[in-house]
This record gives sequence, structure tokens and C-alpha cells, in this order.
Amino acid sequence: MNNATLASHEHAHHFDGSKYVFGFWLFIMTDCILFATLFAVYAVLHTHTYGGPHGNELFSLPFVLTETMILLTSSFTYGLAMLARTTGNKNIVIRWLWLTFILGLSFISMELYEFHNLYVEGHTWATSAFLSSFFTLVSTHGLHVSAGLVWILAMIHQLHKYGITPVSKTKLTSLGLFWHFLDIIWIFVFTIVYLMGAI
Amino acid sequence: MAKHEPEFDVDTGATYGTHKSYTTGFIISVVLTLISFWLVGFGVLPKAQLYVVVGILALVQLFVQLVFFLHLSTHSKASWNLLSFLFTLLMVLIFVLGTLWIMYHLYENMGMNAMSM
Repeated sequence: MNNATLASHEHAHHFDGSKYVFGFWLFIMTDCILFATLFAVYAVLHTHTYGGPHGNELFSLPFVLTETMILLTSSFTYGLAMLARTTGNKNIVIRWLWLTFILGLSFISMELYEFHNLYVEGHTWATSAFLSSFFTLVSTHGLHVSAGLVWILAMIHQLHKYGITPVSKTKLTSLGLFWHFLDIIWIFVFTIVYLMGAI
Repeated sequence: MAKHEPEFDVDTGATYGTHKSYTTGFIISVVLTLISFWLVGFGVLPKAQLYVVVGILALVQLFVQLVFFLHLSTHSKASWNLLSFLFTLLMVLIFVLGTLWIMYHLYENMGMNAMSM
């Protein structure tokens, strides 16, 4: 093989992650539509309490503020993981990913604690249309965060095994879009569900 | 990092922020969140105004995180990302506002008061 064919051969096999990242961006856009429909359902049904409690009797603002700060900080620490990729030191990236994972896990634990308390007090998804739409909207977000946590673990494993390569960087970028997107959805959850519910 | 041109990663085609942009976005988001919770928690404004102000603060924070965390920009290399986002935004507005519009009129015409149900 002469040099020219070798060069073109290598060029053809050069990994181009931009289409993967853009494709994942389009998936996130469709996920936005999913959340939009759930928000619309919540907006219509939140007054239908069937004689049961309204949001302002159920939600604790300091609790939700803590959840919000934890998730926001995890978005920031993920950004620091992204920045650390340029150092070429996979251990720094992995360290920030672990911190993001712990923060995300804390968020999910708090959410499950809240759901558990509501359930124990008799406020379940079967109580009223308001609570059905509340649990559907908030737990759909929670399931996304849980999926993100599993993905972070897989990402850490991949970085340990293969290091910072074009492939792992592409996955790190897609996961980053996903993680930041979940924080953006949460802005609207805490504003529309918890804050507007407490007014 | 160039000052005017965003830096695109060779392997992923994505732009990344700098330490400064992530920190800026984080601090602004924290401040906006605290203002929202403070306004509602202490009932600083009349009810009707609270709804509007808290809603606006959420939209501002959406914009801040889109720019500083998701690095959405008007740069030509990222134009498809922005275009698909704007289209999604249009769909979201049609779904949410359309639903509320239809359901509100349904309640009106059927003589039901949404607030009493």
C-alpha cells in the first residue's frame, strides 16, 4: 500500500462523532415534546383535587430548594468533567463523574423520600387527578435522572477501560446534553409544580 | 480558546464552555433559583404578580442554561441544533397553550368552573 491509499484509508475510518451528538440532540428535542404534554396535562388537572389536598398543603419549599440546588450543582460538576477531558487525564474526568453521580443519587433519594411520605400519608396517584398528573410528571423526570445515573456508571467504566478516545468523548458529550437537559426540565418542575403550587 | 469564535471539538463537532462560562452559568442559575424561592416562600408580592415573575425567572434561567451549559449558539456550525430547538419550542408552545386554551373553553361552555373541581 502506498502512502496515498494509506492516508485515504485512515481518513475513511476516522471516527466522526458529530452526527452521533446531533442525533442525540434530536432525541432530546423529542423528549422535550414528551415533557411538554405531561406539563400540559398537569396544568389542566392540577385544580382537580377531588376534595383532597392542594399542592400548598403537601409540598415543602425548603425540601424542594435543597433538591434543586443538588441537581443544579450536579449539572455544574458534569460541566467540570467535560472540561477535564482536555487535560487527557481520565482520572480527573472520572472523579468529577463520581461527584455528579453522588449528587444525582442524592436527588433521586430525596425524591423517593418525598413520594414515600406522600404515599404513607394516603396521598397516592389514585387519590385525585391532580396527584395522578403530579406523580406522572415528576416521576417521569425522576426516571430520566435514574437512567442518567446508570449511564454515568457505564461512562465511568468505559473511561477506565479505554481512556479518553474520540468514541468515549462522543458518549461523554451526549450524556452531558442529557444531564443538562434534565436540569432544565427541573427548572419548570420546581417553578410550575412546587412554586406555583405553593402560591 | 478564541475570544469570538467558539471552539469546536475535532471528534464530536460540539462546542464546550470554559471554566469561566460554566461558573458564570452556575452562579446566575443559583441566584435566579434563590430569588424565585424567596419570592414565593415569603409571599413578597401579590399572588397574581408572583405567578408572572416566577414564570419569567424560569424562562430567564432556561435561557442561561441553554447558553452556558448546552452552548446553544447562533454560530453557523451549530445552526441545525438551534433550528431543531426552535422548531421544538414552537411544538411545545402549541401543545401547552393549545391544551390550556381548549380546556378552558370546554369548562366555560359546559358550565363547569375549573377552580371548584
